[in-house]
Amino acid sequence: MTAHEPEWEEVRRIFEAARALPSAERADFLRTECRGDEALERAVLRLLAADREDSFLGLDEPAAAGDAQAPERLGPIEILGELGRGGMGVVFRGYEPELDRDVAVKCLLGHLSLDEAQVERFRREAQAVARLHHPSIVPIHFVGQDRGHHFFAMEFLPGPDLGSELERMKLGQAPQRLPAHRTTASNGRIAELVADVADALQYAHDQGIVHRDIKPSNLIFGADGRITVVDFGLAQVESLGSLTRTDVIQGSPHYMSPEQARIASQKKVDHRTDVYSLGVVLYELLTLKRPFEGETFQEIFESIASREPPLARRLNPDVPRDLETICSVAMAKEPSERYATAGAFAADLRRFVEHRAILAKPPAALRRAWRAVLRHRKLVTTGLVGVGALVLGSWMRGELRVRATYPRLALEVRGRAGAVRDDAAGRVSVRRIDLLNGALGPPEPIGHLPLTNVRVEPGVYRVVVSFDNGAYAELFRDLPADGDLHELVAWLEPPETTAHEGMVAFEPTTFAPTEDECPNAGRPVELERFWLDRFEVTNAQYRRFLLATETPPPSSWADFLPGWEAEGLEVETGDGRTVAFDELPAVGMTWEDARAFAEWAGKRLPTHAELGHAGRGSELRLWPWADQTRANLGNVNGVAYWLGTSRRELWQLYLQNASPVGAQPEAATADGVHDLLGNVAELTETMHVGPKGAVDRQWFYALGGAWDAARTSQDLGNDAHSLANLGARGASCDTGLRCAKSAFPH
Amino acid sequence: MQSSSLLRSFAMRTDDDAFEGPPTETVQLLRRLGEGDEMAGEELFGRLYDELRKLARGAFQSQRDDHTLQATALVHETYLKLTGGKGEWKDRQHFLAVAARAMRQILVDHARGKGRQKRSVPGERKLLDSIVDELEAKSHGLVAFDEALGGLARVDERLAKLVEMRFFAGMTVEETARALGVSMRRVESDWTVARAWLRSALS
Repeated sequence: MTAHEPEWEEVRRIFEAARALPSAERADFLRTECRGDEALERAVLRLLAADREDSFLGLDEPAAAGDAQAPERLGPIEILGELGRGGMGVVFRGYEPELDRDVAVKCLLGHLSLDEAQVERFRREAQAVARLHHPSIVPIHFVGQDRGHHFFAMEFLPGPDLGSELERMKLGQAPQRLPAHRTTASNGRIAELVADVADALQYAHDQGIVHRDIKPSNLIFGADGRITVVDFGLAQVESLGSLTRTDVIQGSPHYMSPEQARIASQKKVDHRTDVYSLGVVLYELLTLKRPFEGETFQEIFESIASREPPLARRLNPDVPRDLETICSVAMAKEPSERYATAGAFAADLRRFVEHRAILAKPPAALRRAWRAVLRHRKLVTTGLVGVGALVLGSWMRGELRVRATYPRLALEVRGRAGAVRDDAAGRVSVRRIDLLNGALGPPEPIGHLPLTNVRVEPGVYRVVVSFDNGAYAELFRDLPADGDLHELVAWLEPPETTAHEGMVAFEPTTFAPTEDECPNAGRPVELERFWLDRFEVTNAQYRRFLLATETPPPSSWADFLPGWEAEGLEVETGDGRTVAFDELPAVGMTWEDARAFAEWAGKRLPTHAELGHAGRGSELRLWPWADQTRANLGNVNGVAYWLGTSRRELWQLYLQNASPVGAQPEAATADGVHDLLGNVAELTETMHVGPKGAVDRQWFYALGGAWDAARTSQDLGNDAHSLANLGARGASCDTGLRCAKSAFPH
Repeated sequence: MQSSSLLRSFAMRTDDDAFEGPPTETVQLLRRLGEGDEMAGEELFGRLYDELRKLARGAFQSQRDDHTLQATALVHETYLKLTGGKGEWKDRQHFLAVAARAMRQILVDHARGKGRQKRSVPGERKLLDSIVDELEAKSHGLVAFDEALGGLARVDERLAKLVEMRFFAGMTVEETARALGVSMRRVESDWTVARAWLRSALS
């Protein structure tokens, strides 16, 4: 053990930054940040390995879900963190104290350990790789089983892998181990690299093992800078017999050979599938594009089977003609047109590197062969349709999700009384929301009404429905990559000249809060023209919404306010007084119900920046009201309650302390917006941004403080940014809403 | 004590008629602590330790199943008892910080003694027993956890204080943020770091 003790602040900083990253990117990040300081890196890794949500110190407040549970130890290995995961296995970074060495540990996913066939496959992989001894194939240290976990330990490769190198280059960043793209050195280096992989594959093929899942992320740089082939999880081992049909399509679609994609025809897949996939890797390294893309797996497979990719030189004129030829030959549709062996592929690449004549024929002959394939396209395509379904089923649990998982949108238009209005005409567009600063992207049209099934990229959007009568609806939606049909309701508001009655207009501006509490600290947000309600939403208004839409009331109404359906209730506050319930600001609804209210009212929830701007103005005043010398305005009373306070008591505190909306006109802004500070906090449609920009999609900002806030700047600072839970529990007894609306929704 | 009256006493309106009268000795200690008098903190700790235990030993009966809530209620009941509801906002922040430390001490002492003591009086230590049982499970062993927490305090004192407040006194993120004078977001990120640190120290 070294005596060197890493700086705690540094450990903490790197840990927090790393945990905000996907686990696959953490290894690279750590290496960069720790700059070879092994003690520091190990300290951070220990924290990362220990960072998860479970019963340890479990508290009853919701928290972001962490990675699936990792074992702390596997046999003699301490598990330090996750490196990546695939359809059947997780790869952990580990440390073996006895031998003082870093290892990578592949572990069969828990639920698969119960499946004997999967365990058998897993052992098969271990056995297959254990037989291979080649400088460019990752060596296996040992195979083991610990408390039900099947695992094997391999040499730890510091990386990066070619997948992340490609990502970097596609983003215009410098790769770590490769020369920069389109430099004189790059073509030769790429050719050498691919030749090394081809040599390794030739060796594996000689041992009767076909990898079948060659792709950039399975090619990793070792400590000595040598490229190394990993993940023989789909390997076909001649001596162990063939695998079942569904196993075969567990490769990554973009790198699959036509014969792999065409398995419905039972075509035999042999070692030349690896030659093809490595050809695709070469193509992508040269052009930074995959030869075949598609919306769905089926489309990708159809392209692979039947389409001709653009020649490499069309995408990157710097690619030498010989290298383009080598690439085309390796990627020939028909296995018989390809290099007969991986070794031949490697040899031609080395000829290119040494400026000798290559053996492959120019692509003209290949194009003729492709045309022949194209003539049979119809036949091929038909064969593929059946495969599509099979492939999708098999792939949903796989590691690579393409656009088949894009969410879909359907829109139902309802009139004021709730009747469905099939006759409504209009167009629909989506505006992507930048979760870090709430900025809206440009409108992207997605279709016209009626909208029944439109696929959109996963993301958080403001869906804008522009009816032909001039009315419009704005619907904030988080559309995850679930492939589901999301059915939205847009309320068709009759066009009225008084549509903005009760609202205040705000001109376009830039809101640039400086406090560290804001989701967009230091990032100014451009605000478009918008309207904001003068008043918080009252119980009377909220009741009308509940009755019109048959939405269940807040649980506090259901439990403590029998007969809530009636207007004009005088309610006992519990301290001898009564209040006119209708005039109080509504509280206790869930975030989703608040959003539904706003949409029903033909409006939307404001954003963090909009509410912040309305209250603080571009000059970022401390109080909303104009007279900045008077600090004691507003319904801010510091009434405290505790976790142990019962719901009925909270309800009474609300009745006792919330004021009728607009009861403090002297605390309104110069624009005439009331109760922005105090009374009740107000929900926004801005998601919580955690440390290092991690967005928590279950939490939304609620601004403005409430009757229970204390009048200290520190307390207001906290309250002004307290969070509201989206969960079914509902917002608290101090959080309600007011609505906003864009002036020009696009 | 009726909890509704307890709640009303927590209303921190300084202009409320109900709170007239001289501040209690505890309130004076809290104010001295607020002015940086560390002796006051120590004196307060002793007082809180005794009072928390006394309350826990029987006077306090709760119908709730959630033991974390019981710990919180215990702390707050102690506050009420010692200040007569005459504390101000700032006083309560200081109180909570000291009370969390006292609560930790009580629970860890209780966990240490539990194995040796015979439970001669049924029900006498029921509340502390139930809280300790739950915390034992959540902390993978309370005594070892307490030691690890000592280690954390040497690395980062604020993190340890935060764990005291949240874990031993059952305070919410918001309460903790107020008591420590930091943002809720800061409490959340500190909590994550502290939890990972403690788990790695215990494994």
